Amino acid sequence: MKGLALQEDGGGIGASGRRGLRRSRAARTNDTAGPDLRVVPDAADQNVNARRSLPELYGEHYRSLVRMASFSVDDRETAEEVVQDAFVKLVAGNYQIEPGKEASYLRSMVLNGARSALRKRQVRRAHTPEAPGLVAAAEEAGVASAEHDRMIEALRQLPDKQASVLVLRYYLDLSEAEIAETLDIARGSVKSHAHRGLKRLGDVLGESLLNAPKNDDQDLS
Amino acid sequence: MTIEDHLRSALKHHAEQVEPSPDGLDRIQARLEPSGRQRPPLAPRLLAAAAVLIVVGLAGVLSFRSTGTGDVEVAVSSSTTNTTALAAVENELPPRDDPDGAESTRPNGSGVVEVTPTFADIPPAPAGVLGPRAASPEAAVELFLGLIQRGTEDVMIELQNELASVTRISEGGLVVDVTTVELGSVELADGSTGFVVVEARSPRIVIETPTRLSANSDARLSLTGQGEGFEGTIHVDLYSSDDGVWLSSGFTQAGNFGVLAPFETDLAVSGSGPAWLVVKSSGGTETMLEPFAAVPITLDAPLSEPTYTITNIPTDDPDGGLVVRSLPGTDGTQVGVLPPGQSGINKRAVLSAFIGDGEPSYGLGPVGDGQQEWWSVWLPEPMENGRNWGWVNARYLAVDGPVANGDLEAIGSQFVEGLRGDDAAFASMNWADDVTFGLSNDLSTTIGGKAALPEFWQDSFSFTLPPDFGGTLDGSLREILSPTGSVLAPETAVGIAVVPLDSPSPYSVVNADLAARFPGASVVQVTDPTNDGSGWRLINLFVQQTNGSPEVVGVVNILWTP
Repeated sequence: MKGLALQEDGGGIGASGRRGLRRSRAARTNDTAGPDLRVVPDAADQNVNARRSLPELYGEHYRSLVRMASFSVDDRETAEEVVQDAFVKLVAGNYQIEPGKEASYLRSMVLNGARSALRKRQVRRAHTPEAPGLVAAAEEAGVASAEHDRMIEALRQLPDKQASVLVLRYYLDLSEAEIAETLDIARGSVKSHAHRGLKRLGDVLGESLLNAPKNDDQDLS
Repeated sequence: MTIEDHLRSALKHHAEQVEPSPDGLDRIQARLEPSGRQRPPLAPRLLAAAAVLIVVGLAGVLSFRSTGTGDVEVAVSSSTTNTTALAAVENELPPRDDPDGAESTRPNGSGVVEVTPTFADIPPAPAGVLGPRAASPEAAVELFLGLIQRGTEDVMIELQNELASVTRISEGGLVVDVTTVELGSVELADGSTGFVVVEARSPRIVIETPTRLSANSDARLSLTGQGEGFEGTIHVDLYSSDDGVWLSSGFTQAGNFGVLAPFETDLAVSGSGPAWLVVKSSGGTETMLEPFAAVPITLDAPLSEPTYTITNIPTDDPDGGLVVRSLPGTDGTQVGVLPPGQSGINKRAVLSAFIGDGEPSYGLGPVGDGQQEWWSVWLPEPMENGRNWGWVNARYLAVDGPVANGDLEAIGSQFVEGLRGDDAAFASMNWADDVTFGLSNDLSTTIGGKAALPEFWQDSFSFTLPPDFGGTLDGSLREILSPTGSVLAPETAVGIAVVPLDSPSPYSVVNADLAARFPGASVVQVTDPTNDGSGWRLINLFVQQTNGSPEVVGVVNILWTP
């Protein structure tokens, strides 16, 4: 396929590699059926009963997802809204999701949602006094170290993909393959984003605080 | 303690401070209840909005009627409905699919019109209107907004959520921030009736010129108006009315938020046909939809020069050639395939679109690391589907015609300079500062982009460039560099020669294959007779003029004897 880049040749991006998040034509043209509370409302899907219920998914992932969103948006309420949006979309969105892939989908939606929320917030904050966020509150409470705060702030300054890869890797401890699936990128790109992200963090935070990132490949597998 | 350790610790520390509220599941389930599907009350948004949608009904202000030849007559009445009393607008809405005008206009009953605009799904729009024809006013708005705000999947989903509001036009409540959208109906040759967006206005974005339906025959489209946006930035986009293909893009400065100020800019345009000019400002409100204004215009601009040839595609490519897509990036629908070697291709869109790792981002600057440049092109002949335009990866296009010998020699010299004291290295440009390189005697796997893949190299290594590396990672030698090494000794004579593409080779090179793969390319042959035949090397650099300057588009290590 000539539209592919080098990393795509390496295997991963492209229509066939996507996670199956797109709405099916059947779902899009379903004129009558409203969404139910199953993850995949397509009753014709023989695997539907094998999917986990909303409460199950909530119990397994809600907290970690909220925390993950908080790395991008700096207040809990917004982070929760982002995660709740993801759950609502998951249930009501008529997406065709392979069994067992719900968590990956949720992570992807939360990362995207948090990024969007952050963009809107950045615009709004340009015109309104900044509200105290988690970091500020933590500082006041004397809970977080300045070092950690600097790291989180530096993380927020990274390009989206780099930050996402690092969060998925170093917070959720996902494998390289899982990260690639969540972000819908090639595995090689996961490695490159991680490498660049770590390098940039090192550059920003300085040698005095951190050891320089290793020059060899980051083994994320 | 490494940076990874620091990061892990910081993430853990930060996460532990965040404890979700206990009612998260209840809140999710409440939103999934039928009564909970409605968005927050519209009243505050109505009060906050500076404008409302203007809806033009079937029997109202604008109507379109097909002439039977594909053209559409547009009749514009003398009055336009403009009211904040949305309930009054309700009565003017065109008939819907459902004669009762009930919820069934919403396919899934959730308030969200389940339509994801794609190239294949969208019927061509009649000339002189905005957006494609759709079965309902809501769908028309959605299709139009979906096209002009196209983006990644999450953006589309956000858009769909907002479009749940858009659909409320029909039930007496919709605010798209400060954007005004007019809807008209159109009756086509087949007797079907559809709806189209005919204009989009906003008090925050005012397009003064070009005026509605004006024609532009210049290579530059001048644009004036007034607007406001975040940091005063105003984005300008031009789309083909045929299918919404993005033709050109730019930005300019107007007033900051709350301060309407004049803007003036121009866009480079190419080709002919109906188009939509869309001007958007940055957001700043709760809505995800940014304020925008749009007018339909007609382009009659000359095609751009130079023309291009498809290159660097093997003759036995499984796709049969260069894939043409509806949008920049591999997410775009495949709309055709161009055979290797086809020439006479015009760069249609001045906009360069860059695709990173699966997530499109668009810009006007140079291609960054890990990104691709995509061009909208105009083809000399229509493809099988009758269309003669689409998006292609720019790395497979080269300027028609040979590269000047002086440029070739310069490139050869640059390459040889890089080889001095070094290994022959063909680098993957996936990373800015890391390189995979190696040597191979397998001709079939060492040309073009495949040369960047380590698995195709007999010996390959990954390393990080030394800080003092003086080579070029992109630009004219974007796929080649020369890391430190000692395979090609600098002391030995290195020959550089410009050779015909199809010249006989003493080294059993299948030049015919290469000529087919790099049609019209010039070849710089670099030889290293170090060991007088026992360890010599010969490298062919295939040079073509791509985006602005000659560059090496392919490298063949013709023979390497360890």
